[in-house]
Amino acid sequence: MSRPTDQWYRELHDRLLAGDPTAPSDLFTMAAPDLANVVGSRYPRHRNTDELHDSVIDALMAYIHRPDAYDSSRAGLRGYLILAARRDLQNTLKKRELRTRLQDLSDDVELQAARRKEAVGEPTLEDLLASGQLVARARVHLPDPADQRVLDLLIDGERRTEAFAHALSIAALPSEEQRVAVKRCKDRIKVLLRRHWREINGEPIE
Amino acid sequence: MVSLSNKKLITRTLERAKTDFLFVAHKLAAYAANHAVDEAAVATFLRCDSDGLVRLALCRAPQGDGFAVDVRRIAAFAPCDAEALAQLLREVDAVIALRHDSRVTVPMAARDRFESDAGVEGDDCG
Repeated sequence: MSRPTDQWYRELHDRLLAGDPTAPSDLFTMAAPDLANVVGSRYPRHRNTDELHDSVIDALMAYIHRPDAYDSSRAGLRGYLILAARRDLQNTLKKRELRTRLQDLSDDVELQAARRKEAVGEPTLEDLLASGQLVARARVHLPDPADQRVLDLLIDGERRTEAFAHALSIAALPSEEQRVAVKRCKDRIKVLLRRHWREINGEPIE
Repeated sequence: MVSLSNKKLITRTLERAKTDFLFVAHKLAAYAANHAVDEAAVATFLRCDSDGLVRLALCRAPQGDGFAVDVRRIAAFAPCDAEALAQLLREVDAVIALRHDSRVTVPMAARDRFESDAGVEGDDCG
């Protein structure tokens, strides 16, 4: 079917201005496919998509609601509507591209964190103590010399409670109290080491 | 000759028009909802075929003093029954007005005024 002529568009504009209630119907049933075809030829990837159809419908709706906004002395109605539909489609596609980029960026951050965790795994205490960088950072946050000595014993692989009790100057306490105090100190150092390990590996600190 | 070949585009247009007070589509959708009937039943009531219903739906809804003239023009264009169309439009307007203002006049009074103003008969304008 041939497209509506420029004369047809001119007459339709006059009908709309004159308040003809049937003019919008002709515009939608005859001009909309014509406009969709033209815009679709310039955006072939979007031919027959909802985005393209919406851009044509938006352009026609805006014109029908305010036909006086169109200045017939400046351009033909067909060209005016094509331009409006193209602009609308361009804006829609730009917004969609921006949303996709933001989503990709978000996915990348999450994926990288997951891969890093998978690759590195949750380290053991031995792993943590083997890292000179990690131990050096932890030492800064252990101002108490007793804690520093316990850290040294851990690095040396010491396992005996009495050795740690001696380092903490609590050898005179009952053995049960020694065990509790030594465990508390070791746990504090482990937490500190793990926190710095997460910082170094870019994971959020709990 | 009206082209309804691009069904997808027309269907999307109709969906948009149903949400816009400017179009007859909005009135047809409201009538169908009020009576709990489908589009086919509305078409039967208006005595028009499916293509006619599309052309009708995308017309500007009649307004104000030109109501009767607009109804005749739209009915001839679709085509459909002018009296049935007037009745449908007045009823929907009345129901909408009733929902917003309890002091509004009843639909039959509106229909009577339309008939006396325009002299519309019960014939088919197609």
